[in-house]
Amino acid sequence: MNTEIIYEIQSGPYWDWRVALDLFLGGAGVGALLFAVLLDERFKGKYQRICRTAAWLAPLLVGSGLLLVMLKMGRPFHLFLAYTNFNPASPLWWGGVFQPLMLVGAFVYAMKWRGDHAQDAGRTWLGRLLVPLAVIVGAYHGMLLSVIVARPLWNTGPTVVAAMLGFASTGIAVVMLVHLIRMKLAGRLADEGHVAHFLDDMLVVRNILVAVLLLQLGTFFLWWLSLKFGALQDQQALAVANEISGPMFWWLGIGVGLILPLVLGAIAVWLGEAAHRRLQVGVIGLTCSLILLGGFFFRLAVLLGGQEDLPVNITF
Amino acid sequence: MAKKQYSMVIDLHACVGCAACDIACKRENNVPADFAWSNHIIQTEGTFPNVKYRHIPTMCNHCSNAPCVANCPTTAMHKTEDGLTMLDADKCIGCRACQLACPYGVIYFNEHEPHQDTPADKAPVIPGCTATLEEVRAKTGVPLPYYNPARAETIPGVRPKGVAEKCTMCDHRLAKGDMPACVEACPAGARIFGDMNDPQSDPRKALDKHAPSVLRPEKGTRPNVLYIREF
Repeated sequence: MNTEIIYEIQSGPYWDWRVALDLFLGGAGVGALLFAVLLDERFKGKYQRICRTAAWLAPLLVGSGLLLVMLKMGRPFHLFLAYTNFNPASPLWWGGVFQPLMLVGAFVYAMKWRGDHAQDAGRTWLGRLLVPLAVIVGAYHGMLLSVIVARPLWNTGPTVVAAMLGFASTGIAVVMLVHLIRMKLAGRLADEGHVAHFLDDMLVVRNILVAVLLLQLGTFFLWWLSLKFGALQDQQALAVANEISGPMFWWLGIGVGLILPLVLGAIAVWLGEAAHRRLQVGVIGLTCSLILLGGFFFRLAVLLGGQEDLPVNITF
Repeated sequence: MAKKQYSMVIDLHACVGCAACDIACKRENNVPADFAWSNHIIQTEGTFPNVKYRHIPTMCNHCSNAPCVANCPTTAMHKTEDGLTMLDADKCIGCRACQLACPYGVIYFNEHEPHQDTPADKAPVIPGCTATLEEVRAKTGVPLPYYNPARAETIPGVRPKGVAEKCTMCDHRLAKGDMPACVEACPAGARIFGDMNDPQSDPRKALDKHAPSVLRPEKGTRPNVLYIREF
């Protein structure tokens, strides 16, 4: 039976690439901070240079994300109202309150990494204090979309898990990539001994990253399953999102951001770890770049795809 | 005594689809031309001669479990004692979370300065005959020729750029004991408004006679705009 429905409303997207970039940068910043604290705590100064890179990246990334999302707001300078009007039911309230606090804390933490102190009790304690704050900000970024019941594409459990895993993978990837660039700029990549030491350090990071990427892949599969075989509105949301941003999600988000890095990682392992150091450094750089590229496009695809108007179901 | 719960019952059998409600709302609330606080869904189904036509008036449902309220980071969107869902423009940061959260598409956002679609200030519509907007403004002291100053009694008369806006159930009229403009304008008496917690109110009496339904019940928003006699 032919059915035509006319319902003219203010169409989206209500949130654009700036919000996607905030989710990406904020998430990576949270991941970088947690990575710095974890490495410092667990390995007691062994990865000092990487920790320093991570510690400095955290406030830069979170701050850039916050700035971008404020540019998207109609009245960004009213954001302080979140401090005087409590609405814990809103993830945006949590973000508005805790993201600036984390930004300040992360900046102080980064400042404490100045100089050449392998161990600093004050820094370690500050790092520990920042962990719950970072988790709150991470959860805010993860739950921002998933709590919106009106958007079936976002309103699922795997959305939160995928976002949280995304923080870990992009956080680690951005730290490693920037660290490699710092090594290159400092001329340390020409030093065989230094590179060997770096690659040795990277083994534990690589294992974490591979685990996170595999978990992410599994979560995406669960997400797809829950929508594909879910209620009518879930299926419609998936179909509409596929139409709008399907290629971006599947090719860039999954293909470039997850599968290709896993394949590259496997090739690097297969090539051997001692004989091809220069190649391995290249593979690490490329892999991290791909994870970051995929991480952004996955968020953009989900953000745009989830806002598309669904067919109006006049269900009484 | 229980608090008030203002509600609207729309009798779809009585509604003739004239859209007088939409026009009255625009005029009463100084709503920009491209927004529709009072709106409608038109559905046509089937092939001639077996066709079905439905005209379903829509507006903010003033949900009891309003997702726009839950998602607002500054409590700009809030519930009142009377059960209305209201937006405090002073608190709105323009994040558009309410718009995304609303399953009914009834919240609008002033991305640009409102009322941009009015004719150019300098040129009259009919040269030598009609006044320019600038002249009207100077003469009347209001921002728009069709401006209703009464709207400014409870919220900004024209909502500024950067904030959201939506149906208020004409709270400024309710404060004076009047009916919402859409109810008053409806020539068919299809809009029945009142306090749902009062057993003697018109909407309660209507619901005693007819089983109500709401839009998108699966969303769990508990709308306070209810439809009866759907056909």
